[in-house]
Amino acid sequence: MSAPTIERTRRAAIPTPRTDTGAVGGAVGKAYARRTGRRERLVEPVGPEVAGRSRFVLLVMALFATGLVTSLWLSTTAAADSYRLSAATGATRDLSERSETLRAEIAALRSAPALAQAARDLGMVPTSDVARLVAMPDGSVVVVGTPKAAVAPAPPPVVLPPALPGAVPGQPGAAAQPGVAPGQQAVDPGQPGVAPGQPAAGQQPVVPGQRAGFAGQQAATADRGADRG
Amino acid sequence: MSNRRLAIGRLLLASLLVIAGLKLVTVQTVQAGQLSTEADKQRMTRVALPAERGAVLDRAGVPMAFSVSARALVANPFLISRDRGPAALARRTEIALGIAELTGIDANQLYAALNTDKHYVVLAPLVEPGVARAVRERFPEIAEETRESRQYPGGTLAANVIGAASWDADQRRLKGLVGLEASRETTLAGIPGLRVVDTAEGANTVIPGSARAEQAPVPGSDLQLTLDSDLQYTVQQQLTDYVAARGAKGGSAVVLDAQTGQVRALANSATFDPRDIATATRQALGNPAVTSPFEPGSVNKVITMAAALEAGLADPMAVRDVPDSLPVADRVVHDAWNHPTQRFTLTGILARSSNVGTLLVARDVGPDRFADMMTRMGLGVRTGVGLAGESAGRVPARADWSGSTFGNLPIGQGLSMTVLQLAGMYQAIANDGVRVPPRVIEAAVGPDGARTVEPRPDPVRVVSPQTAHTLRDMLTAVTQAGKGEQRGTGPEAAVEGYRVAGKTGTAQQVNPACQCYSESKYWITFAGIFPADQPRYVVAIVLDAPGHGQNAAGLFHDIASTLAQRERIPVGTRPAPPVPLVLR
Repeated sequence: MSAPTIERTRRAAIPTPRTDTGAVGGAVGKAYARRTGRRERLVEPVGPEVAGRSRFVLLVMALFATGLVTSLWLSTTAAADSYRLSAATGATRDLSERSETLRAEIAALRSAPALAQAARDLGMVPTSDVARLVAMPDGSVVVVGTPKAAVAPAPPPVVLPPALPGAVPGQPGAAAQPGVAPGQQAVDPGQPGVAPGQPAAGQQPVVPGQRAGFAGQQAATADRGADRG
Repeated sequence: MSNRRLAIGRLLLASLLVIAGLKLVTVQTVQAGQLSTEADKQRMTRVALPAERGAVLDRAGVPMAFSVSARALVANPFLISRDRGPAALARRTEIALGIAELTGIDANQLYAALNTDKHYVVLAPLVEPGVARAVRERFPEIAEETRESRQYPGGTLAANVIGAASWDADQRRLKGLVGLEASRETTLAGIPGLRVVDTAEGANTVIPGSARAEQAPVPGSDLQLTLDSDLQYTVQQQLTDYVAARGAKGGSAVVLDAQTGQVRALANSATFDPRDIATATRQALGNPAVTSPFEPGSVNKVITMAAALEAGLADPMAVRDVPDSLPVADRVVHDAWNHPTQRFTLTGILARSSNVGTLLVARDVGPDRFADMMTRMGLGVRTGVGLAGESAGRVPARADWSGSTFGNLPIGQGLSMTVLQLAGMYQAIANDGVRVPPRVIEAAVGPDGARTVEPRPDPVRVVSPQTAHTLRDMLTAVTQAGKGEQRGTGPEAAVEGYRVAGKTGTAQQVNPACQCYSESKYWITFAGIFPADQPRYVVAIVLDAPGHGQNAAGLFHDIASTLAQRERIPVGTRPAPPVPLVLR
């Protein structure tokens, strides 16, 4: 907008000396007069009005630039976010798949056959007839039943757990020893260095989460063992 | 000259414009509807959204069957051959080895599947989604299909009840094959959803943002059973071991809750692993505990006793002279052991399981009262337990009875029942005379968690509470370990610290060759109530042709002993007082 004005003013400045050479008559004079008038008209409006307009232009430019930068920044952020989003979606999918796998694993491990197998692996033996201590109202204790050692059933388990990692089926040599206390039965003769009383240690490479379930079973059975009196 | 040319040119252009305009109007208005419908037809695809199948839970909520999402790995070996040309062989080997490494499937098997010219082969039917993705990223030739994998964490645990479901390739969903998975298909399956999308022509690629209508799938409901999975496991194990140890062909056992009639365990010695259903035999897939009736034998004598007590014809200590044999119509009925005419108490007749004594009591009762009692005990009618293929057993109609019929029925021959019906009879005695038909399904739990409790059956009053109580006392004498004549027939069933009521039974099997009763093959039965003084459980057992001289009382003992420990049933310190069975 302002560029042509400057250029014209500069070009008009070149022939100026000629106007000063003297009075020129006729058409030429009129032409000069018109030119002078034009020049005056062109040069004249330098003032507060022009300054205001340029400020406005600058403002628009600034706004434009800001908008440009903002939109650039926004689109960059959006692109970055879309990467993060897809990463998060992937992570969510992986985690939900993992949770589903873990749930299936837990279901397999908490199922009755798996628990029974785990108990067998710990050297536990199901008891059939247990003797019980009954506290009478007068404070005396009566033994009901005949206390006797639990005997491991001879046949191997029919129902095997599906995906018990590291489970050794049966171990009949260790489990089928009548008359041995349950805590000692778990010691596999083929594993020297396993102290009696620590039957579970290192026998099964199971992840810690699975351990807890077995520990619960062990506690429950130990509680049952107390009934034997 | 040039003006004329210009005019012609103008005219031509104008007419072209007019034609184009007319066509435009025709296409946009007149034909618009038809054309857009045709276009839609080309692009629109209905995508089925699978509904997740419901789980089967035990009474404590432990999952016995449930679904997880899985992927099938599929390939187009024909395309591999075409695209790779001579290098196809190497590529196939590479793919087979790669998949074997990622999934653990046998590489030879994979290679054999790939080494064809088919257009579609399934390399692995059920692979974890993450593994499938890894395979697809590594081998672009392999595609994955969404599937649902049915998990049976307990393996054979309650398999005869739950059954099995497997992937139906045509309907693209899991489908029940046997057991509850099949009979309760509608409850478990849910309703698949539908999404209408646009796809690129000739491909299955969905155009993003083109989804129009979408109907969300409704997941299937969970089925909660009345079974106790721990007890079920133990009973299954004990039954299998007992059947094997006694050389029986098979056997079934059922445990009912004495008050509610709910089935706590239902086991058959022949069972299968639903994870490997292809190898299961037809016999193993069945559920004989509800589908196969048998002649019950002496366990049926309780009906005569119930009728006699209910009618006030006798009391437990009433004495009766019982000879060794009794002529009934055209034949003579003997007792199982030789004895002179002896003075039996009513309890003694039941506890010693005297056929002759029972028939003498039955004569007093009369056929009509006896037939009525059989009906009230639920014989000849399906229990409606909720399992498919249930048998009603066979009880001859009263009108068809011949002279010898009434010499057979009281001692448990000439009629048949399932082990579940047998348990139901004793449940009535355990529950103070009120029979609650057994049920195995507790409730259906909808996807929103809403519980729909299965309709409960109407209880049936069989005998008065007093009669039931007297009968339990009489049945307790069966497990009495007296000397000689004072010994019941099933002391093996006794559990120290508890009173056990029960009845042994032996029935001749029908020999199909001669259509007569076999002299060597028997149904061995036992039905019992535990504990007799405060009934909690009813157990019924049938063994198919075990070795000679066996009984099922020992198995009852094992199951009752387990129940006592598991349920912490209070121990009694006073054993049942000895009851005179035979008087001198």
